[in-house]
Amino acid sequence: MSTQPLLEVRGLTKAFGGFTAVGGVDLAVRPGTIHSVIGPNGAGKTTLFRLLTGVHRPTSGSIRFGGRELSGARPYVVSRRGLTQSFQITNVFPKMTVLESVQVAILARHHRSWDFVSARQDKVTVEAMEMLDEVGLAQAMDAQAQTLSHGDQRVLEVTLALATRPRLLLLDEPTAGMSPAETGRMVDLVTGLARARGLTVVLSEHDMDIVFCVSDEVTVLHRGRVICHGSPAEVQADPQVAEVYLGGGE
Amino acid sequence: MTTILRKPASLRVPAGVIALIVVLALGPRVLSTAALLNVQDAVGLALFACATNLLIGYGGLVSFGQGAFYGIGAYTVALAWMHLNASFWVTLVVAPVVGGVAALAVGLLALRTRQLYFALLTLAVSQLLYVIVQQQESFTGGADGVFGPMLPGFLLNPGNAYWFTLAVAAIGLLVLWQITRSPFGMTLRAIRENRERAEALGVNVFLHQLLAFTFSGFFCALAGVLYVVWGQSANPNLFSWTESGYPIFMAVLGGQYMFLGPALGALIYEQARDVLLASFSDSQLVFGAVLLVIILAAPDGVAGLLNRGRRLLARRWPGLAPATSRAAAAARASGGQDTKPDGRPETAVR
Repeated sequence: MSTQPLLEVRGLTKAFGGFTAVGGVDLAVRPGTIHSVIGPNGAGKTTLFRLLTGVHRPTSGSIRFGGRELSGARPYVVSRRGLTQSFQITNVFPKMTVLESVQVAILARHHRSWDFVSARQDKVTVEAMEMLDEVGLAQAMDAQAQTLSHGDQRVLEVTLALATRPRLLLLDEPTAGMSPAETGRMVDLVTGLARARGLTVVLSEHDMDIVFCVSDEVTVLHRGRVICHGSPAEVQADPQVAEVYLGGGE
Repeated sequence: MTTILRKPASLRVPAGVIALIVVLALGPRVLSTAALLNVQDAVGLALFACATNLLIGYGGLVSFGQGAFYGIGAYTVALAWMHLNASFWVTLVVAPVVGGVAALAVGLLALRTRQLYFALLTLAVSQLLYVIVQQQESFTGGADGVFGPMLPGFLLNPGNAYWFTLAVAAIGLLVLWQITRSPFGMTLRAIRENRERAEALGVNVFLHQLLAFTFSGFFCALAGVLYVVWGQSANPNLFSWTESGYPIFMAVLGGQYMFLGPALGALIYEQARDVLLASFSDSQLVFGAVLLVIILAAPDGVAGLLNRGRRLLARRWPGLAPATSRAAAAARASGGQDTKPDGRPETAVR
């Protein structure tokens, strides 16, 4: 493959005391692809994501993003460099309106969170409303985030991440706890946005139908290590994966 | 995208606030000197309470040490007069800056901790200053504080002192109000709501909180200057933990999620205190009970109760409803989750 990976992880390890949650993980994510990271519970997906976003510091290994070393950077720095996470649990600003929430994300991107003088934010407001239009939340923009349905809160959650205009979006279980209809809407939203914007997505997801349907590449984690990597078809055909994960009584 | 027009937020001050200022400005014409001093005290405390509430209500940072900056404001005026014979008009400008710089220093230390530890650290700093001011008698006047003709002649007239206090507090509140509705204020609220999420969106949480703490210290010190205008003295009790507790009490009483809630709390507290002091031997006990009832029954304070009342009335007269709740109600009424591209309610236009 000739294209330089946007995200390149080498020998990434995180140990908590004697327990190695992530052990020597290699990962290469090419730009413009949807790359899924799957694995049974406790495989180390969440820890891997926290390492990527700067919440945890790696014990060893490197994270290169867009050609620059990223390991050890604080979360807000990681976000500013263009790697933004959408969270597994619903993680919004409960008492702020939908519009305000998106404005906060856009302001941070424009480095205007410091502006304590002006009250007029026409450009930011218009941009926020355009985004809400795009994801189908425009009519709820004056509602408090906590009053939205679960599905809408998840959409808002992803919209917040998108408002930072990331180069790479980390989606941690975007359809967790959603109804089938809401899940379909979320999948359409994510794949549509990724294609339209040339966004690179790293996805963690329980629903294997979704994973094999939308992914360009799949990496399988088990007990903190990569046991298989390849196209959805290759991963589905791998006997080891079937043993520990797909067939192995979960 | 179809056209969604929204009037940009302007500096328009609500008519009710202007009416309130006009009524307050009439004070010297209608009130007795004692009553006038009482209202003047309340106006200064309103600034103190709203400056503290920038941290508590907007930043979610409960500081038990804002008395430190209140005291620093008052002592800057008093000590500069005592040692340097400095003019009040100069120290009026210098004192808030000293308060802001002190807050910056304290914030650098205290904001490395969270919640209870933050509250305890701010409390410790103010208690430390309280002890220092009491012990360094030769420099600070010790437990007696600083007395003397530190005010210019103009402010010795009760009416002038009152109007001056009202004007300074109004300007201070206007600036604070502007801060709360700026992009910075919006980001500060986002940090209060969900610190981790804000940081993941690229917000430098520590620096925002530090700036908020500095602003708060600046305006608490300005309120301390207004204390000198009222009391014509400075005393160590300004640094004490009870002094730091008043603005928190006022914010909870008045309502911490509305900008003027703490100011309302200050006005109510000042009037109620005299009544309670006259009727009960232990007024603190009554205040404690009142606080408990408010926290349990009306967590958004008196301002929240007034808003609730307004919403009840709005069922009869819809024109009275606050704009945000109208939009929220419309969003709920139209199903909320299934957005129809053409079904945008008219409430989106505000």
